[in-house]
Amino acid sequence: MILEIKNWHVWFGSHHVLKDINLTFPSKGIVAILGPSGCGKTTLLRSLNRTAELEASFRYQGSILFKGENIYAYRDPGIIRKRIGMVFQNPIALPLSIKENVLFGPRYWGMDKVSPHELCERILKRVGLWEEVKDRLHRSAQELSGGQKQRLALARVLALEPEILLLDEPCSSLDPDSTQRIEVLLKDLAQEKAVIMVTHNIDQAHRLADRVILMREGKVIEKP
Amino acid sequence: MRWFWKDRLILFFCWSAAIFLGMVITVIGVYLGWKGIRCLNWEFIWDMPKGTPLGKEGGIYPALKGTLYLVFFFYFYFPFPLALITALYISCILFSFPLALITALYISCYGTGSRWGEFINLAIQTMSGNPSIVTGLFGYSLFVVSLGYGISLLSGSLTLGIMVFPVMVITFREALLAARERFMLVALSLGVSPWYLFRRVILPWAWPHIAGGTLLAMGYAAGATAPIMVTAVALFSPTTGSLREPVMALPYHIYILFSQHISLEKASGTALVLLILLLLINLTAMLIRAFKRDGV
Repeated sequence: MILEIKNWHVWFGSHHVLKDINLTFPSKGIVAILGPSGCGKTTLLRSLNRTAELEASFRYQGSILFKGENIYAYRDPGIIRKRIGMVFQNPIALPLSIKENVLFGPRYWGMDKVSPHELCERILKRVGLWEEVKDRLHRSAQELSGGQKQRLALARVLALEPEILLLDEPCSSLDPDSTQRIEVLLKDLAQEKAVIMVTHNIDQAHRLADRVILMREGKVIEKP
Repeated sequence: MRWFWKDRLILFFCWSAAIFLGMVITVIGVYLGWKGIRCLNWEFIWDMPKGTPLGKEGGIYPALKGTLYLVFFFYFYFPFPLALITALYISCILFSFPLALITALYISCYGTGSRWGEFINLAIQTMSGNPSIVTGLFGYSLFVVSLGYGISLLSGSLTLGIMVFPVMVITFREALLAARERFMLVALSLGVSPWYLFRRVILPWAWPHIAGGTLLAMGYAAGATAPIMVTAVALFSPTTGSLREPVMALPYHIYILFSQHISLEKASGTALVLLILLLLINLTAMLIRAFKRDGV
């Protein structure tokens, strides 16, 4: 098991959002988290890479173990965020060029020293965006379509070579064609790393996931 | 159907307010043009004030120079390349820009939700509502009397710096907050530090707003009379540019020409020059904001 959640509780102010979550995740394959809006799916996902704590009123109890180490014991949450990458629901491109969007994380972590261009090409090919953007790598990423932006967001995260990939409804704002591209990519990625995704789409969960977790009112109500 | 009429009514009031404001500005412009255009020539711009009482004849050169010194203070005291960069990217007022940017950065990126951040926000809001004469009196007490700078360009610039400081902080804060809301979560989820996010994403995205806000603050400073009346200006000064000497300034010159009944025509001409100067500053601010583009 790559990730283990033990007796996990989260509060935002006085609101008890997650209640006694206990889960384990394997090191490969896709796990889908399903549940109605407001049941705490996104908070659970954001707890896993320590972005939930960006909210000022965040409080927690319990532990999340990543390869046996408590992720909340790290003083610098950046290390965890790099190793457990996350793609959000809305496809947001940083106000940089397409190439600089991909290299945004690697430049910070010093991973672009070998050949930034090669790294960029390799990652964009991986997400199936290379052919569409290879002639305009230096153009603003804002010019891309929603589906392209979402694949760019995935590329930005994959460029950091995360060990776990978290996805928060990655296809909710995409057309069927873009959704299919992302799904194929996720299946491919799941061959080598753990993919945990939140979705509202039951069909998508059954199509992609090796395992489905159901949540309701901050609790896990069903896990295989 | 009732909502439809309410919408139309609101639209009518909005348009009426806009047309009314436009008319007021047009009337002021036309009036000043009609009264002051006759004396508006190169001699008026480049000549010293002359005649008895002083200002009845001659021009406004020292007052124009004094206003520019007060507003573009930093520009004139550094070698040209640095001054150019300063004028473009930093500020008219050496003291307020960096401080305003750091304050805005703190309250928008680091101190959000903290008590200290809330306190600074409250202080900035209170400062922005401060009457300019009160700021002038504060500047007089601190710079002119306590620090012994006297009535001088230095005292006036510092006082104007204090006056525009909250305006700059509020403008910068809004720009930084907008950038933060859009990009913070996505960028920080990649493990980067808040400083890297600020340097690579937030500042480049927000700089047109920051530069535009700085220019608007400069316009505000250029038109201010009360703070400089008690800290910087004299009835007549050759405006040599020395930090420790008093200067002439356009708003105060207008006030003297008008209130002492020296020359309504010259007062209108001076007001027209000031109006054109403010218009140029505001137009530049608008152009910089319009230039804003995402990305590369």
